[in-house]
Amino acid sequence: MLSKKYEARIGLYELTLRCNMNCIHCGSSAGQKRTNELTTEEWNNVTKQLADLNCKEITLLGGEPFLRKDWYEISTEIKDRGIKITYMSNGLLINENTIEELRKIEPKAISISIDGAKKETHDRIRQVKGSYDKCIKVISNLKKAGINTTVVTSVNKLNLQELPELKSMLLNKGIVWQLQIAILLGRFKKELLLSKEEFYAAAIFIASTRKKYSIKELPIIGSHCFGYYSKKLRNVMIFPWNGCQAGISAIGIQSNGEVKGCLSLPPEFIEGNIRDNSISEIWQKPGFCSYNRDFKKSDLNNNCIDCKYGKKCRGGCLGVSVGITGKSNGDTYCLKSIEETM
Amino acid sequence: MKENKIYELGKTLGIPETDVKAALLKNRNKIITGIVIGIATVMTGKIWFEPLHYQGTSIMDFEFLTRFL
Repeated sequence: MLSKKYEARIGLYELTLRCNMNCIHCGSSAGQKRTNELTTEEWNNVTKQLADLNCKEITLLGGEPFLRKDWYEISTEIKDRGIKITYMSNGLLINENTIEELRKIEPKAISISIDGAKKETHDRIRQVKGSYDKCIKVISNLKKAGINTTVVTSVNKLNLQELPELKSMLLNKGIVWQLQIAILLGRFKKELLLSKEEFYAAAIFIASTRKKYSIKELPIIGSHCFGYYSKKLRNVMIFPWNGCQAGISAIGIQSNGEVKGCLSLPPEFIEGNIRDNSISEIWQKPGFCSYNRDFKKSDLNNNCIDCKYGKKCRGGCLGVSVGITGKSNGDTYCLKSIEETM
Repeated sequence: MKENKIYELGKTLGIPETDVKAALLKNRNKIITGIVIGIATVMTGKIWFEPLHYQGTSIMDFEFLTRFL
Protein backbone atom coordinates (compact mmCIF):
# COMPACT_ATOMS: atom_id res chain seq x y z
CA MET A 1 0.00 0.00 0.00
CA LEU A 2 1.34 3.41 -0.98
CA SER A 3 1.76 5.94 1.80
CA LYS A 4 -0.79 8.76 2.13
CA LYS A 5 2.00 11.06 1.05
CA TYR A 6 1.01 10.19 -2.52
CA GLU A 7 -2.74 10.60 -2.97
CA ALA A 8 -4.35 11.37 -6.33
CA ARG A 9 -6.44 14.25 -5.02
CA ILE A 10 -6.44 16.16 -8.31
CA GLY A 11 -7.35 14.57 -11.63
CA LEU A 12 -6.75 16.26 -14.96
CA TYR A 13 -8.76 14.96 -17.92
CA GLU A 14 -7.83 15.84 -21.47
CA LEU A 15 -11.34 14.98 -22.69
CA THR A 16 -10.27 15.35 -26.31
CA LEU A 17 -7.34 16.78 -28.22
CA ARG A 18 -9.78 18.19 -30.75
CA CYS A 19 -9.96 21.96 -30.71
CA ASN A 20 -11.86 24.68 -32.55
CA MET A 21 -9.05 27.16 -32.04
CA ASN A 22 -5.44 27.04 -33.17
CA CYS A 23 -3.60 28.99 -30.47
CA ILE A 24 0.00 29.85 -31.22
CA HIS A 25 1.04 28.92 -27.67
CA CYS A 26 -0.82 25.60 -27.35
CA GLY A 27 1.46 23.23 -25.45
CA SER A 28 -0.51 20.19 -26.64
CA SER A 29 -0.61 21.26 -30.32
CA ALA A 30 -4.35 20.64 -30.11
CA GLY A 31 -6.50 20.56 -33.24
CA GLN A 32 -7.26 17.06 -34.48
CA LYS A 33 -8.56 14.48 -32.02
CA ARG A 34 -6.30 11.62 -31.03
CA THR A 35 -6.86 8.24 -32.59
CA ASN A 36 -8.95 6.00 -30.40
CA GLU A 37 -10.05 8.50 -27.76
CA LEU A 38 -11.73 7.17 -24.61
CA THR A 39 -15.45 6.46 -24.75
CA THR A 40 -17.97 7.85 -22.26
CA GLU A 41 -17.95 4.54 -20.37
CA GLU A 42 -14.18 4.55 -20.18
CA TRP A 43 -14.11 8.10 -18.79
CA ASN A 44 -16.78 7.22 -16.26
CA ASN A 45 -14.74 4.20 -15.24
CA VAL A 46 -11.71 6.48 -14.77
CA THR A 47 -13.84 8.69 -12.51
CA LYS A 48 -14.98 5.69 -10.47
CA GLN A 49 -11.37 4.57 -10.01
CA LEU A 50 -10.23 8.07 -9.03
CA ALA A 51 -13.11 8.37 -6.55
CA ASP A 52 -11.88 5.12 -4.97
CA LEU A 53 -8.44 6.73 -4.67
CA ASN A 54 -10.02 9.63 -2.73
CA CYS A 55 -9.82 12.17 -5.56
CA LYS A 56 -11.28 15.55 -4.54
CA GLU A 57 -11.22 17.59 -7.71
CA ILE A 58 -11.20 16.93 -11.45
CA THR A 59 -10.41 19.47 -14.15
CA LEU A 60 -11.83 18.91 -17.61
CA LEU A 61 -9.75 20.37 -20.38
CA GLY A 62 -8.58 19.58 -23.86
CA GLY A 63 -8.33 20.50 -26.67
CA GLU A 64 -11.71 22.04 -26.12
CA PRO A 65 -13.68 19.92 -23.62
CA PHE A 66 -17.08 21.18 -24.78
CA LEU A 67 -16.47 19.71 -28.24
CA ARG A 68 -17.28 16.33 -26.72
CA LYS A 69 -20.98 15.71 -26.91
CA ASP A 70 -20.81 13.63 -23.72
CA TRP A 71 -19.15 16.30 -21.54
CA TYR A 72 -22.34 16.64 -19.50
CA GLU A 73 -22.61 12.88 -18.92
CA ILE A 74 -18.97 12.66 -17.85
CA SER A 75 -19.42 15.70 -15.59
CA THR A 76 -22.56 14.23 -14.01
CA GLU A 77 -20.66 11.06 -13.11
CA ILE A 78 -17.95 13.16 -11.45
CA LYS A 79 -20.51 15.25 -9.57
CA ASP A 80 -22.47 12.20 -8.42
CA ARG A 81 -19.31 10.78 -6.90
CA GLY A 82 -18.90 13.91 -4.80
CA ILE A 83 -15.88 15.24 -6.69
CA LYS A 84 -15.58 18.94 -7.49
CA ILE A 85 -15.31 19.92 -11.16
CA THR A 86 -13.49 22.72 -12.89
CA TYR A 87 -13.38 23.38 -16.63
CA MET A 88 -10.78 25.01 -18.84
CA SER A 89 -12.30 26.18 -22.09
CA ASN A 90 -11.79 28.65 -24.90
CA GLY A 91 -15.44 29.64 -24.48
CA LEU A 92 -16.47 29.46 -28.13
CA LEU A 93 -19.07 26.71 -27.69
CA ILE A 94 -20.66 27.93 -24.47
CA ASN A 95 -24.18 28.98 -25.32
CA GLU A 96 -27.37 29.34 -23.26
CA ASN A 97 -27.97 25.58 -23.21
CA THR A 98 -24.41 24.88 -22.06
CA ILE A 99 -24.79 27.43 -19.27
CA GLU A 100 -28.07 25.85 -18.21
CA GLU A 101 -26.37 22.44 -18.00
CA LEU A 102 -23.36 23.93 -16.23
CA ARG A 103 -25.68 25.35 -13.57
CA LYS A 104 -26.91 21.83 -12.87
CA ILE A 105 -23.34 20.57 -12.56
CA GLU A 106 -22.44 23.44 -10.17
CA PRO A 107 -18.76 23.54 -11.09
CA LYS A 108 -16.22 24.94 -8.67
CA ALA A 109 -15.13 27.25 -11.50
CA ILE A 110 -14.89 27.58 -15.23
CA SER A 111 -11.81 29.14 -16.78
CA ILE A 112 -12.04 30.98 -20.07
CA SER A 113 -8.93 32.11 -21.92
CA ILE A 114 -8.56 35.76 -22.83
CA ASP A 115 -5.17 36.48 -24.36
CA GLY A 116 -5.37 40.16 -25.08
CA ALA A 117 -7.22 43.34 -24.18
CA LYS A 118 -7.54 44.19 -27.86
CA LYS A 119 -9.61 41.90 -30.05
CA GLU A 120 -6.87 41.90 -32.73
CA THR A 121 -4.33 40.53 -30.23
CA HIS A 122 -6.64 37.85 -28.82
CA ASP A 123 -7.80 36.76 -32.26
CA ARG A 124 -4.21 36.70 -33.57
CA ILE A 125 -2.99 34.53 -30.69
CA ARG A 126 -6.02 32.23 -30.88
CA GLN A 127 -6.08 32.34 -34.69
CA VAL A 128 -9.86 32.59 -34.86
CA LYS A 129 -11.37 35.83 -36.10
CA GLY A 130 -14.22 37.13 -33.96
CA SER A 131 -13.35 34.89 -31.03
CA TYR A 132 -12.64 37.79 -28.68
CA ASP A 133 -16.16 39.21 -28.93
CA LYS A 134 -17.70 35.78 -28.42
CA CYS A 135 -15.53 35.01 -25.39
CA ILE A 136 -16.26 38.33 -23.69
CA LYS A 137 -19.99 37.70 -24.16
CA VAL A 138 -19.67 34.17 -22.77
CA ILE A 139 -17.83 35.44 -19.67
CA SER A 140 -20.57 37.98 -19.06
CA ASN A 141 -23.28 35.30 -19.48
CA LEU A 142 -21.49 32.91 -17.12
CA LYS A 143 -21.29 35.62 -14.47
CA LYS A 144 -24.97 36.45 -14.91
CA ALA A 145 -25.76 32.78 -14.39
CA GLY A 146 -23.87 32.87 -11.09
CA ILE A 147 -21.10 30.50 -12.20
CA ASN A 148 -17.65 31.16 -10.73
CA THR A 149 -15.59 32.36 -13.65
CA THR A 150 -11.87 32.72 -14.10
CA VAL A 151 -10.12 34.47 -16.95
CA VAL A 152 -6.81 32.86 -17.85
CA THR A 153 -4.20 34.85 -19.74
CA SER A 154 -1.12 33.16 -21.16
CA VAL A 155 1.43 35.93 -21.26
CA ASN A 156 3.85 36.19 -24.17
CA LYS A 157 5.60 39.02 -26.02
CA LEU A 158 2.47 39.82 -28.04
CA ASN A 159 0.18 40.57 -25.10
CA LEU A 160 2.43 41.59 -22.20
CA GLN A 161 1.83 45.28 -22.82
CA GLU A 162 -1.93 44.80 -22.71
CA LEU A 163 -2.00 43.65 -19.10
CA PRO A 164 -2.93 47.13 -17.71
CA GLU A 165 -5.86 47.35 -20.11
CA LEU A 166 -6.99 43.83 -19.20
CA LYS A 167 -6.76 44.81 -15.56
CA SER A 168 -9.11 47.74 -16.13
CA MET A 169 -11.50 45.49 -18.01
CA LEU A 170 -11.70 42.94 -15.19
CA LEU A 171 -11.81 45.35 -12.28
CA ASN A 172 -14.91 45.06 -10.07
CA LYS A 173 -16.40 42.32 -12.24
CA GLY A 174 -16.10 39.54 -9.65
CA ILE A 175 -13.98 37.51 -12.05
CA VAL A 176 -10.77 35.80 -10.97
CA TRP A 177 -7.84 36.64 -13.24
CA GLN A 178 -5.08 34.06 -13.54
CA LEU A 179 -1.86 34.83 -15.34
CA GLN A 180 0.55 32.23 -16.61
CA ILE A 181 3.49 32.34 -18.99
CA ALA A 182 3.37 30.65 -22.37
CA ILE A 183 6.11 28.03 -22.41
CA LEU A 184 8.12 26.39 -25.13
CA LEU A 185 6.03 23.29 -25.60
CA GLY A 186 3.86 22.24 -28.53
CA ARG A 187 3.27 25.02 -31.05
CA PHE A 188 4.80 27.93 -29.15
CA LYS A 189 7.76 29.64 -30.83
CA LYS A 190 10.83 30.80 -28.96
CA GLU A 191 10.67 34.33 -30.43
CA LEU A 192 7.50 35.02 -28.43
CA LEU A 193 8.74 33.68 -25.10
CA LEU A 194 9.01 36.39 -22.42
CA SER A 195 12.56 37.42 -21.58
CA LYS A 196 13.50 37.09 -17.93
CA GLU A 197 13.15 40.86 -17.49
CA GLU A 198 9.64 40.72 -18.95
CA PHE A 199 8.80 37.74 -16.77
CA TYR A 200 10.00 39.56 -13.66
CA ALA A 201 8.10 42.72 -14.65
CA ALA A 202 4.93 40.64 -15.08
CA ALA A 203 5.47 39.21 -11.58
CA ILE A 204 5.84 42.75 -10.15
CA PHE A 205 2.63 43.65 -12.01
CA ILE A 206 0.77 40.83 -10.24
CA ALA A 207 2.25 41.63 -6.82
CA SER A 208 1.56 45.35 -7.21
CA THR A 209 -2.02 44.77 -8.39
CA ARG A 210 -2.68 42.46 -5.46
CA LYS A 211 -1.38 45.11 -3.12
CA LYS A 212 -3.53 47.84 -4.66
CA TYR A 213 -6.84 46.02 -4.98
CA SER A 214 -8.77 43.88 -2.55
CA ILE A 215 -9.82 40.33 -3.39
CA LYS A 216 -13.33 41.64 -4.02
CA GLU A 217 -12.15 44.30 -6.45
CA LEU A 218 -9.77 42.15 -8.47
CA PRO A 219 -8.77 38.65 -7.45
CA ILE A 220 -5.58 38.31 -9.48
CA ILE A 221 -3.29 35.30 -9.16
CA GLY A 222 -0.10 34.14 -10.76
CA SER A 223 -0.20 30.46 -11.66
CA HIS A 224 2.50 28.18 -10.28
CA CYS A 225 4.96 29.19 -12.99
CA PHE A 226 5.27 32.58 -11.22
CA GLY A 227 7.54 31.21 -8.50
CA TYR A 228 9.51 30.52 -6.39
CA TYR A 229 10.65 31.75 -2.97
CA SER A 230 11.05 35.36 -4.03
CA LYS A 231 12.66 37.52 -1.37
CA LYS A 232 10.99 40.64 -2.67
CA LEU A 233 7.65 39.85 -4.22
CA ARG A 234 5.03 38.57 -1.85
CA ASN A 235 2.00 36.52 -2.81
CA VAL A 236 2.51 36.30 -6.56
CA MET A 237 1.14 32.78 -6.41
CA ILE A 238 -1.93 32.07 -4.33
CA PHE A 239 -0.51 29.01 -2.58
CA PRO A 240 2.94 28.48 -1.14
CA TRP A 241 5.06 26.40 -3.51
CA ASN A 242 5.81 22.92 -2.25
CA GLY A 243 7.22 21.48 -5.44
CA CYS A 244 5.66 20.03 -8.58
CA GLN A 245 2.63 17.90 -7.65
CA ALA A 246 2.80 15.47 -10.58
CA GLY A 247 2.51 12.00 -9.07
CA ILE A 248 2.33 13.46 -5.56
CA SER A 249 -1.25 14.73 -5.54
CA ALA A 250 -1.99 15.10 -9.25
CA ILE A 251 -2.53 12.73 -12.15
CA GLY A 252 -3.20 13.55 -15.79
CA ILE A 253 -5.08 11.34 -18.23
CA GLN A 254 -4.89 11.98 -21.96
CA SER A 255 -7.87 11.41 -24.23
CA ASN A 256 -6.36 8.14 -25.49
CA GLY A 257 -5.97 6.80 -21.94
CA GLU A 258 -2.27 7.53 -21.55
CA VAL A 259 -1.25 8.64 -18.08
CA LYS A 260 1.24 11.32 -17.03
CA GLY A 261 1.86 13.03 -13.72
CA CYS A 262 0.70 16.31 -15.26
CA LEU A 263 -0.86 17.02 -18.65
CA SER A 264 1.58 19.90 -19.28
CA LEU A 265 4.45 17.45 -19.62
CA PRO A 266 5.67 16.33 -23.05
CA PRO A 267 5.04 12.77 -24.41
CA GLU A 268 8.25 11.28 -23.00
CA PHE A 269 6.62 11.51 -19.56
CA ILE A 270 3.82 9.04 -20.41
CA GLU A 271 3.94 6.25 -17.83
CA GLY A 272 1.07 3.93 -18.61
CA ASN A 273 -2.36 3.58 -20.16
CA ILE A 274 -5.62 3.07 -18.33
CA ARG A 275 -6.58 0.51 -20.99
CA ASP A 276 -3.68 -1.71 -19.92
CA ASN A 277 -3.71 -1.18 -16.16
CA SER A 278 -6.01 0.25 -13.53
CA ILE A 279 -5.26 3.76 -12.28
CA SER A 280 -4.46 2.32 -8.88
CA GLU A 281 -1.85 -0.01 -10.43
CA ILE A 282 -0.27 2.84 -12.38
CA TRP A 283 -0.33 5.19 -9.35
CA GLN A 284 1.25 2.60 -7.07
CA LYS A 285 3.76 1.31 -9.60
CA PRO A 286 7.32 1.70 -8.30
CA GLY A 287 9.06 4.41 -10.26
CA PHE A 288 5.86 6.28 -11.19
CA CYS A 289 6.74 9.98 -11.42
CA SER A 290 10.16 9.13 -10.04
CA TYR A 291 11.31 12.67 -10.94
CA ASN A 292 9.20 13.78 -7.96
CA ARG A 293 8.76 10.73 -5.75
CA ASP A 294 12.39 9.59 -5.81
CA PHE A 295 13.82 13.07 -6.11
CA LYS A 296 17.34 13.67 -4.80
CA LYS A 297 19.07 17.03 -4.52
CA SER A 298 21.62 15.76 -7.03
CA ASP A 299 18.80 15.70 -9.65
CA LEU A 300 18.67 19.50 -9.68
CA ASN A 301 19.79 21.21 -12.85
CA ASN A 302 20.60 24.65 -14.22
CA ASN A 303 20.26 27.52 -11.71
CA CYS A 304 18.72 25.19 -9.10
CA ILE A 305 21.96 23.36 -8.32
CA ASP A 306 22.97 24.31 -4.76
CA CYS A 307 19.75 26.27 -4.13
CA LYS A 308 18.83 26.06 -0.47
CA TYR A 309 15.18 25.47 -1.38
CA GLY A 310 16.08 22.71 -3.85
CA LYS A 311 14.83 19.81 -1.77
CA LYS A 312 11.41 21.33 -1.21
CA CYS A 313 11.07 23.08 -4.59
CA ARG A 314 12.47 20.24 -6.74
CA GLY A 315 13.46 22.76 -9.39
CA GLY A 316 10.14 24.50 -10.00
CA CYS A 317 7.59 23.63 -12.67
CA LEU A 318 8.75 20.55 -14.52
CA GLY A 319 6.88 21.57 -17.69
CA VAL A 320 8.57 24.98 -17.80
CA SER A 321 11.95 23.45 -16.98
CA VAL A 322 11.77 20.83 -19.72
CA GLY A 323 10.10 23.19 -22.19
CA ILE A 324 12.64 25.96 -21.85
CA THR A 325 15.90 24.19 -21.01
CA GLY A 326 15.33 20.62 -22.14
CA LYS A 327 16.32 19.47 -18.65
CA SER A 328 14.12 18.53 -15.71
CA ASN A 329 14.27 20.00 -12.18
CA GLY A 330 15.79 23.32 -13.23
CA ASP A 331 13.19 25.97 -14.05
CA THR A 332 15.21 29.03 -15.06
CA TYR A 333 12.15 31.28 -14.84
CA CYS A 334 12.51 31.51 -11.08
CA LEU A 335 12.01 34.80 -9.26
CA LYS A 336 14.57 33.98 -6.57
CA SER A 337 17.23 33.06 -9.09
CA ILE A 338 16.48 36.21 -11.13
CA GLU A 339 16.75 38.36 -7.99
CA GLU A 340 20.15 36.88 -7.25
CA THR A 341 21.48 38.06 -10.60
CA MET A 342 20.38 41.66 -10.04
CA MET B 1 19.46 40.92 -15.54
CA LYS B 2 19.00 44.46 -16.81
CA GLU B 3 17.35 46.53 -14.10
CA ASN B 4 16.83 49.51 -16.42
CA LYS B 5 14.79 47.33 -18.69
CA ILE B 6 12.59 46.26 -15.77
CA TYR B 7 12.06 49.94 -14.87
CA GLU B 8 11.00 50.66 -18.44
CA LEU B 9 8.69 47.65 -18.52
CA GLY B 10 7.26 48.67 -15.16
CA LYS B 11 6.33 52.07 -16.62
CA THR B 12 4.72 50.43 -19.65
CA LEU B 13 2.72 48.13 -17.41
CA GLY B 14 1.55 51.05 -15.29
CA ILE B 15 3.17 49.72 -12.11
CA PRO B 16 3.75 52.44 -9.46
CA GLU B 17 7.44 53.37 -9.37
CA THR B 18 7.63 52.61 -5.65
CA ASP B 19 6.58 49.01 -6.28
CA VAL B 20 9.18 48.56 -9.03
CA LYS B 21 11.86 50.12 -6.82
CA ALA B 22 10.93 47.90 -3.88
CA ALA B 23 11.20 44.83 -6.10
CA LEU B 24 14.63 45.86 -7.33
CA LEU B 25 15.95 46.94 -3.94
CA LYS B 26 19.05 45.11 -2.83
CA ASN B 27 18.59 42.73 0.03
CA ARG B 28 21.11 44.75 2.04
CA ASN B 29 18.39 47.00 3.47
CA LYS B 30 16.41 44.01 4.64
CA ILE B 31 19.50 42.52 6.32
CA ILE B 32 20.11 45.78 8.22
CA THR B 33 16.46 45.85 9.31
CA GLY B 34 16.82 42.25 10.49
CA ILE B 35 19.89 43.06 12.57
CA VAL B 36 18.18 46.07 14.19
CA ILE B 37 15.11 44.00 15.05
CA GLY B 38 17.37 41.23 16.37
CA ILE B 39 19.26 43.59 18.68
CA ALA B 40 16.02 45.11 19.93
CA THR B 41 14.66 41.64 20.67
CA VAL B 42 17.72 40.73 22.73
CA MET B 43 17.68 44.06 24.55
CA THR B 44 14.08 43.68 25.59
CA GLY B 45 14.82 40.17 26.80
CA LYS B 46 12.34 38.55 24.40
CA ILE B 47 14.90 35.92 23.50
CA TRP B 48 17.77 34.52 25.54
CA PHE B 49 21.10 34.50 23.79
CA GLU B 50 23.83 33.49 26.25
CA PRO B 51 26.83 35.33 24.75
CA LEU B 52 24.92 38.56 24.91
CA HIS B 53 23.63 38.11 28.45
CA TYR B 54 25.54 38.45 31.69
CA GLN B 55 24.42 37.50 35.18
CA GLY B 56 20.78 37.40 34.30
CA THR B 57 20.74 40.57 32.34
CA SER B 58 21.57 41.49 28.82
CA ILE B 59 24.95 43.09 28.20
CA MET B 60 23.11 45.12 25.63
CA ASP B 61 20.58 46.16 28.21
CA PHE B 62 20.69 49.88 29.01
CA GLU B 63 20.79 49.07 32.71
CA PHE B 64 23.91 46.93 32.26
CA LEU B 65 25.61 49.48 30.05
CA THR B 66 25.04 52.26 32.54
CA ARG B 67 25.82 50.37 35.77
CA PHE B 68 29.53 51.29 35.61
CA LEU B 69 28.96 54.95 35.04
